[in-house]
Amino acid sequence: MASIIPSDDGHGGAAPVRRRAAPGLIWFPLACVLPLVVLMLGFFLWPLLGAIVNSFHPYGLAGIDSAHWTLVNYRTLLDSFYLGVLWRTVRISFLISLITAVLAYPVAWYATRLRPTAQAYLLILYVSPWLVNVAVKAFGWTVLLSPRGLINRSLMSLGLVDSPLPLMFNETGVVIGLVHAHFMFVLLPLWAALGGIDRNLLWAASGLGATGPAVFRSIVLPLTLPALLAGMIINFTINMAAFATPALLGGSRVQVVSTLAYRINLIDLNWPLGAAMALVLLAVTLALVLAAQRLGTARREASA
Amino acid sequence: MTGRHSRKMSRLLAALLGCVAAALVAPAAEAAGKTVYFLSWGGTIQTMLEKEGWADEFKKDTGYEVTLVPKATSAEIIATAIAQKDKPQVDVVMCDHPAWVQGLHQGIFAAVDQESVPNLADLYPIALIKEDGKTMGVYAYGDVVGILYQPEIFKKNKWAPPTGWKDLMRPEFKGKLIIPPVSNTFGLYTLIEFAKMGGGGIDNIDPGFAELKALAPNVLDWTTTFAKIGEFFESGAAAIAVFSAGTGLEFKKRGIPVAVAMPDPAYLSPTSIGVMKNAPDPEGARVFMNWLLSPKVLAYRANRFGQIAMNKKVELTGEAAELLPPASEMAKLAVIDYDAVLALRPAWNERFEKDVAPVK
Repeated sequence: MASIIPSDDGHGGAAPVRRRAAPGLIWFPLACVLPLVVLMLGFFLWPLLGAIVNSFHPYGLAGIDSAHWTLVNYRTLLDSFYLGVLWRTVRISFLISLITAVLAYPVAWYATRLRPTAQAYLLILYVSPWLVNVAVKAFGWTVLLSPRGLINRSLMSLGLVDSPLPLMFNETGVVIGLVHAHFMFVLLPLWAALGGIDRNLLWAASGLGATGPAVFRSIVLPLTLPALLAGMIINFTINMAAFATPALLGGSRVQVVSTLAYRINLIDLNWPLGAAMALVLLAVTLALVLAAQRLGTARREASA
Repeated sequence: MTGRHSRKMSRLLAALLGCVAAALVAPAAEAAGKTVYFLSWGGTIQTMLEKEGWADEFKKDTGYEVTLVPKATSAEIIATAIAQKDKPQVDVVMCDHPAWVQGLHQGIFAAVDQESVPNLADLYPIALIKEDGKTMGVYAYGDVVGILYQPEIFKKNKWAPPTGWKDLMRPEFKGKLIIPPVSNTFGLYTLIEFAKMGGGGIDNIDPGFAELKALAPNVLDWTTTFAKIGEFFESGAAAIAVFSAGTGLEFKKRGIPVAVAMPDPAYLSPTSIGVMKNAPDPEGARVFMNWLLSPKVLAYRANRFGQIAMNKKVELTGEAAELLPPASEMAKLAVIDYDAVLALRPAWNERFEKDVAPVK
């Protein structure tokens, strides 16, 4: 996962000088990491392995039949309904990342021009949605977006629309809610990368007659691309796994993989099918992330 | 990293380790007393035990302590119970019957008898859940499916108040109707009732789905929770909803203007309780189950939360006496064949999501 972290390409700083570290400085960080490693092994990797095993067992009314092995759960997922839900999840998640990227550029750009204190306040403002409980956020959006919400009532009393716009219980609601919720994951890396750009490059480019869009295309975008991709990848993976926002703003009409997995695991109790679904989600997400990273490195190598 | 930093970090690490150690030790210390672990809801059950003093009452009555393990939904309760069926950490499990029966089929419950749970003798016969002649658990109390509506909206639009299931199909409710999805207990009753109205039933569910699909464009949202329905009512977005009658009473108490119509037939939606097989404290588990089924506790739940007690000795007072069905009506409440439904339900849930939910 190391390459997800924004590289220092855009910063142009010199590589740090290697020094011999005191033994304490080697063991202490390792000791710090150990609890987390144990935690991850015990509470993430072990259940994940359990889920992989479960996904190959059949399920009946008496529970998981561990005596038999089957591919039936994966076959079920090939049904057009499940593939459709998976496709919708990927499509919405990508759309959200894309919208977030477009919206985050101006904000990040504006932030880098402010004084440091003002930058901090602005960023806190954009990070704050992440600090609010997700259910509270979704209810807040309901107040704004519902058929009788603030937006629709205002539009109707202004005579701009005759009947309420369908802003929630559909994909629109999910997209609005998640763009807001996960905005900072694109904004922060982008802000860091934009702050690292040498302004002389931009002046030089304009001095040589490049228009605004040309400067953005040939200088700003290439220099911030690694950070942008890193942010979008994190944003995308969180969108893929989001549960509460789709459940509350999408309603029961817009099923995504996480809401479907909830039904299968917790209402039908069909853990083998749920496990198969979780693994497919994991595989699809990982594949897309790896593809995006490859795209990023290819671009960088090509431009190097 | 400077020395000062490193010392600070070590202190932080020590504090963290201390917290972990404390967390590991705490439950062990607690288990030394005689404590019954009760897996159920965080809603009215938690209010009863923790806020309104009934856990203390239990201790006074029996000498045992009770610790509630709260979950949000019946599905989560039974999933938790099934997950620990090989090595249970809870003694008693209570949730909606359709979920509870999933646990029963996975063999997680132990049989109970009148010797250890004397209050079984006072329950309505309908309440005993039998398997091979043994009582595996009981309905503790129940609710009935109700049609909840907003009288003010009805008056304003000059609509006649709803009286039964057929009223849900009235075209004027377009965009103002709430029905829970089939995966929800009350959505399940709606599906089965619609199937019956169309000449089918549990064994021929097609007419039910046809009716739900036809009704889908009128449905504002297929809502699963009490809280969200309340919000829809409060904002005026919804005018009419299928949910439990008890929910209607709770809304009224919270100042949301709601009236409840009892459709005919009225379906009993039972809440079931059972003792975990290989429970850590099998004796305490039965003591708690007996206490919960006592007239004292069930009368409190009936009067406080509008729940229909399954103990014949419960006497209703005040509002509950007016609103809840009297003993003479108990036998008339419809109960669905949960065993038959259990096997079919996952397919129904999937069919609902494929065929009905996407319809706008």
